Amino acid sequence: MTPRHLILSLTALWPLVVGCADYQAEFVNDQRVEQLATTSEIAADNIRNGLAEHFGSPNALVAWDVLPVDFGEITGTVLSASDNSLRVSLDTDPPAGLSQVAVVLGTETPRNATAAAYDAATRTLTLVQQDGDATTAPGTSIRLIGHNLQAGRRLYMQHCMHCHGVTGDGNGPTARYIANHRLNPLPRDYRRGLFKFTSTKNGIRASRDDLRRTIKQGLAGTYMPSFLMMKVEEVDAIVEYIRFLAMRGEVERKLLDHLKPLMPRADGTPPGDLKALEKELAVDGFAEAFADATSLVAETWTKAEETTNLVTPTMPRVPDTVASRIKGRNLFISTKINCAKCHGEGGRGNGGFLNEIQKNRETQQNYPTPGLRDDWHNMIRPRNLTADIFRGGRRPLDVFRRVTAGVKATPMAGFAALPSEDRWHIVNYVLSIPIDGAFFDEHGHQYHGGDNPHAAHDHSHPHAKPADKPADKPADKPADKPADKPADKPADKPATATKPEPAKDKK
Amino acid sequence: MSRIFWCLFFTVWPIVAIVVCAIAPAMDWAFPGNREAATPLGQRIDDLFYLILGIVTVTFIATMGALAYVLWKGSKNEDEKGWFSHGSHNLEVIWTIVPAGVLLFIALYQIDVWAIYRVRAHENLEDTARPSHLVAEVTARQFEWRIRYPAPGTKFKTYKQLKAWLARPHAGDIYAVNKLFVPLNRETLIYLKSADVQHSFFVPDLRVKQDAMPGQSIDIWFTVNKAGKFNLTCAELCGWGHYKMRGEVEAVEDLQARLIELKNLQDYDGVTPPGAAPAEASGEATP
Amino acid sequence: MTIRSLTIAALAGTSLGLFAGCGGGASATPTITYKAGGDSSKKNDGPVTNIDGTGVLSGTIKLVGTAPAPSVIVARGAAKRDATVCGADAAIIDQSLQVGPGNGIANVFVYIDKAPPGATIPAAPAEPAVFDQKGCVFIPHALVVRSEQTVLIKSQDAAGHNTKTNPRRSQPFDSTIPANERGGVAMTYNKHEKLPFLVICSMHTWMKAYHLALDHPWGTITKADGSFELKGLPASTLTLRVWHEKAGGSAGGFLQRSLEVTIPKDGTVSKDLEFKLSDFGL
Repeated sequence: MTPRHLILSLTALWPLVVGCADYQAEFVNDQRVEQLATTSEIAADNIRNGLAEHFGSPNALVAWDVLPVDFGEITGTVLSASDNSLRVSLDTDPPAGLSQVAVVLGTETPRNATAAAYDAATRTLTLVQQDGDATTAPGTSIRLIGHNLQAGRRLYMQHCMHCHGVTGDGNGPTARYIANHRLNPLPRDYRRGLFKFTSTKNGIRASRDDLRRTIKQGLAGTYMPSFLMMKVEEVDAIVEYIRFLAMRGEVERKLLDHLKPLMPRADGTPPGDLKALEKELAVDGFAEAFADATSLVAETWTKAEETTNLVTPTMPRVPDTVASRIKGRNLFISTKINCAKCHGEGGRGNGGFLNEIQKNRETQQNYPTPGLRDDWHNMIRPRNLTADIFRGGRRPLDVFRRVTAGVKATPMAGFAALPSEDRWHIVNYVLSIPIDGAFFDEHGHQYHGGDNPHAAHDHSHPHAKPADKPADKPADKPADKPADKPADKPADKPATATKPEPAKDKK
Repeated sequence: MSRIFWCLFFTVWPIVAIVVCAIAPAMDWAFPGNREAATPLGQRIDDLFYLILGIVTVTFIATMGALAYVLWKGSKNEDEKGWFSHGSHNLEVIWTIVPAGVLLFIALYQIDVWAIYRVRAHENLEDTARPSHLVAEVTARQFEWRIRYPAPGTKFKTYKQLKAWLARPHAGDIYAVNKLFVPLNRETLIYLKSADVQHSFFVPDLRVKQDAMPGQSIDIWFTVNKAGKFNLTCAELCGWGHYKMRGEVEAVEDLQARLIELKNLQDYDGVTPPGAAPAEASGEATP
Repeated sequence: MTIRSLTIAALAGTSLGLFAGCGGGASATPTITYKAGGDSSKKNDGPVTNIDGTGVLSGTIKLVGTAPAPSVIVARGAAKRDATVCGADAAIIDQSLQVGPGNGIANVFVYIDKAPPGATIPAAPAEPAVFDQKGCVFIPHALVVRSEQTVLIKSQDAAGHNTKTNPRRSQPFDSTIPANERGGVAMTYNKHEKLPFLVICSMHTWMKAYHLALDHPWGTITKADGSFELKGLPASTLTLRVWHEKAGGSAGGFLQRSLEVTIPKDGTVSKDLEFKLSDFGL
């Protein structure tokens, strides 16, 4: 046997080795926990253990009922028990292939167990381990908990993990390819509990409906695709798992905040009176801080489901007439609310703000380069309103929500203090920009800007029609023009009663 | 003994192949869409396939039968030596001309289907009737299908108007993702674009497949004559999510009604129920 | 070993390799462990006795040494944003360390973290607290409010502002305050905050203020001369915290993390504290 044969046959065996990297899913802690470990090992251990104990790992999850997550629960009663096998009568049919779920026996003094398998034909539940005494009296109540979380975890790992990461930190294996496209938003890091496109008020978490909508519709113009073909139950299970991951991340974040005095200083040295602080924060006060963090997180996510926290317009949409759009335009460029400072006079997302150095909103230090950033410190650009992409949805309701409550975790703030009518005017204007243009000339004609100061139209037609007619559809006339040339709309003659402000830069 | 073994070996597998082929339709291992395409052109493509299948089956049985016979005959006689043949010129001519003829026949027979599918569909687009068949513009992007319909009731009278509509968003356009409605029993035109890389618009049940090239707007023509929902998949490897780039094409009787439903949902302002008339006409005067 | 057997071995190995990666990962079914309820966070310290009587704490907080003159953030008329409104009349100067004539440090938060058990906590005032902005500067720079007390965010400027709060426990606020908003946009901090937090304007990035929301009334800030007074404190031994936005040099911290004070019933206790320049990272 020559060396060549040896090498050839050995190289043929390499797939064995490659495949051996059996992908063990593990939750990854925030990198600040490692930093904390350099000064206080106790504190870092407490965080790690606390999270592991109350949330588990992707292969061994914990259903902690303090969290407002629908883990999936099936109730029933025990008919008879022998050793590790129980005959049960369940109130609802469990999903096929139920296994490894948590079992709670009894209500007075509940005992925990793990179900290995359920046989629907004989209605027998096989337990793999039980706490305490193994005899279960007939008539004991039984709860099977966790099938929805299992389904969510499985589906998440299959469909979402590669971008959003095992821990939901937006750092999955494919996330770095998105990072190469500089201005595309990175996959969402759930650990702050912030989601951008929601229907809830400012300061409130995203509701389940919002998450469902994002999964089903995708986010147009980003790398978040639409999962329209996924079944409703599957989407719901994924939503629960995402909320679970978000809550875990938020609890971790709050704990790190609580332990912040123990973090090393900027030059790497431990803080003064470390021992005393350690005792106060990481030993004596840790359990309380953990409980406080969890209850706050649970409360915020519960509040997100309340209908009072939805942004709902109090009046129907103002009719989408040219007059309304003109009002919207005036508001857009006014200094009262300063839309154009970010979105630009022409709505192209190139406003003056982008040339300024912004401050990190947490540390108040300047960012190194000019431009806007979101709460994850990634560079973002204001929406180019001419692009006909509306990430949060293009219904008037969606745009109204953006204008009212802003986009969470970004510099786009809400204008809830503006009257509803004004906000509808802005909505009408914004929705018209991709179609008719961002600028208005002195005759109230919309156009796309460019070299001409106003839309080219036939001056010989009298401006006689009094009604505010909206722009006609171009399907009936030759409308063959590139985007930069002004639109030619001979039939469009609105009344000039409401003169728009001249569409020149106002300084 | 081993000769009998190899003889049987090479006889069994062709028989298995023929049996599998024969029971395939019953076992639903055959064409998607329950063996019948949902478009007339698709049905013609299927017919072509069956034609070729028939020709090939006959050839297969003939050649495999000959092979089996030869093997069996040779296995009987242990002592006979193989005789050296100088070839047979006649035989060579026969088995060149006959297959050539068969192939030529197939080539000519299918020209019409190819012409309809790939050539004539893209001709005469300036014909005034053709642009009016536009149903939607489908933009393939990683990893979804973004769809834009013209406003309900829009009729494009010239190709120029159609091109103008394709070039830019227009008032009343309806946007959707991954779910495409097409009319039943009416010629349908889809313009296919790509937002990033190459994709391929593949609806197996309709026997429609067209690659989406970035920078190009490609017309796809078909007529669906069976109501129902059909899988839309991507057939050109476009990235890590290629496998899940699934959509659905649904052929409906009344497309306009569906589009109006979608439009009402798209115009929802949070207060007025979708479909209820707003206080004043909000600007979509249907021509 | 012939080539043939080697090839077969290699092929077998390769096909085995195809299966080696299976198991675990995406399709695995996780085990679920159930965990009931929250751990009780309340320590049972025994029966709680009501604290009888109140007292007053007053004092001054002074700086040892000479503070550097505050730097100019925006020169007069040189604002990049809304120059006709921001810094139009006077330059905008850095307020992070304001030292009065007697070396008293202003805007230092002096407060009790948790109300002592047994103390009677007066109700939150019905009157709203006012948080204003003029010339693109927040007024006041430091504010202590009761949680659940209404805060009215007003504006005297002809330009729109975007006030954003960053509380740790309460619901955050992030909304535009229209120009010349005299009525005020109402908001509340619904939870007790353990630390003062930053309030900024997203549009005018130099604008900063610090708020503290407590579920009891025992917190205050030092005045321009560094003096403070806390009335109605429960007469017991209290742990006070002394916080300043420039302590430790950067994002704020404790000048003194715990200051033990015994409040006599109907009496006044005085505490004068001094801090060095190095405590502010200077």
